[in-house]
Amino acid sequence: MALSLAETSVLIGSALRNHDVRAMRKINSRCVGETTLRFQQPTYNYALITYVLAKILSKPRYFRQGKGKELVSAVDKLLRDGEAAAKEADYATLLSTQGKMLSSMEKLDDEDRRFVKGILQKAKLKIASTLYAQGISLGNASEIAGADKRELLLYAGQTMMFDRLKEKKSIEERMKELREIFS
Amino acid sequence: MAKLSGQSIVCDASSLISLTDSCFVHVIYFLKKKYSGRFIIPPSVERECVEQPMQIRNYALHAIRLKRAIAENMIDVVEANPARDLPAFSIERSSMSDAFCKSKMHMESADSNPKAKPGKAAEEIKFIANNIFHADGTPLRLLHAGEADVLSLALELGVDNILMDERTCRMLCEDPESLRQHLEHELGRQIGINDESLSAFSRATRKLRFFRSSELLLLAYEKGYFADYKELERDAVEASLYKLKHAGCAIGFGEIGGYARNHIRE
Repeated sequence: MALSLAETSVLIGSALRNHDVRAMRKINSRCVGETTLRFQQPTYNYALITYVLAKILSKPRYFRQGKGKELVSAVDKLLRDGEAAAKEADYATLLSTQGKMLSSMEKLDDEDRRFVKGILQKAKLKIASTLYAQGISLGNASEIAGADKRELLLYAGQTMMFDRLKEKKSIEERMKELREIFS
Repeated sequence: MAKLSGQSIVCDASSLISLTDSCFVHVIYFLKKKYSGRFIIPPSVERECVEQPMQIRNYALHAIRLKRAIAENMIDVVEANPARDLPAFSIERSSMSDAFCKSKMHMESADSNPKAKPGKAAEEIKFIANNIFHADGTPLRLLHAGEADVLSLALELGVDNILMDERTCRMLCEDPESLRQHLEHELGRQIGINDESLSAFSRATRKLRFFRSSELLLLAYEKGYFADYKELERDAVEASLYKLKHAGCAIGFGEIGGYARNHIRE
């Protein structure tokens, strides 16, 4: 059954306080699945937030200088604000609160950047790839997640998604048709 | 527009991206010189493959390759008639349930780029395609305006061949039942079909034949594109298929391995 936005906020807060990466990933999967079914910006934002939080919690380097701890307490507070806004169906406040969470996580990553692609961009790409693998078209997946189509194609190319779903028409059949056309 | 050769192909952005990222844009030059057909793209594909990536340092070179191919008339940008309707769609929006029509309002608001606004026929295709499957009463929004644009241009020009590496749109046209089962498996819930939408969509797209960049490359190989590799020719073509796969062409490792074993290395 689908979780409400307020319930999602509570679950994320609990996983965050317990440093429970597994629980965070589970919430992420639910949010991504919900996004595939019916796109809603707040649900998608929670998919992004949970992906990034799972990454941050699993990497000790973010916690070495105490910055990770600061982030956890700031995001925890914002999650409570988000929960209250969701309960009152105040989506503008919820979206703005989620925006603050994403900015603070992006800032933390920027301060100790290791890769060209930031953590938020990586999250968008990962979610877009999941949407595409689940059956949403490439264009739609990239639009929903805000990921670049070219990067999404390259990312999908590194996965086994095309081996997991066999297509009806074989390469031989397509070649036969192509040879007939170009004979 | 003059009648197009049966060897013409309407190309989707996904295939052009795979080809340029793998440095195989010259496959288009090679085939264009050998055949009478044209490689055609709608303006939305040009925007996606040339204009937008030109602004990104990492992808600008790929965009330049395609821009040059367009400038050298290897690829033609053709605009669909924006007011044209698709006669094959006998289904009327008014005959759809309220839930489906409400979902359309949501879908249209998501297409935020005004420049990317598709023509009437592409809108129809997108609308019908996005009302074929539903879960818990909600239609699944599968297709994007860009993919609908490619289908609609092919139908308008009477070109039956489409070059598309993207998997979902191809499966929706060729094998919707497998796509439904896949969605059911992935989403862990029952996926229903709106028969009226499916039959309208299938009626409109049944003549279309889809090819991927992998098949285009194999055709070029059969016509001698890799001949100058001499004794390394077969290795080169197999490696090229893997390169295309890694650039996003929707082809499995198993498919490449099987084809290479049976047809390239035999």
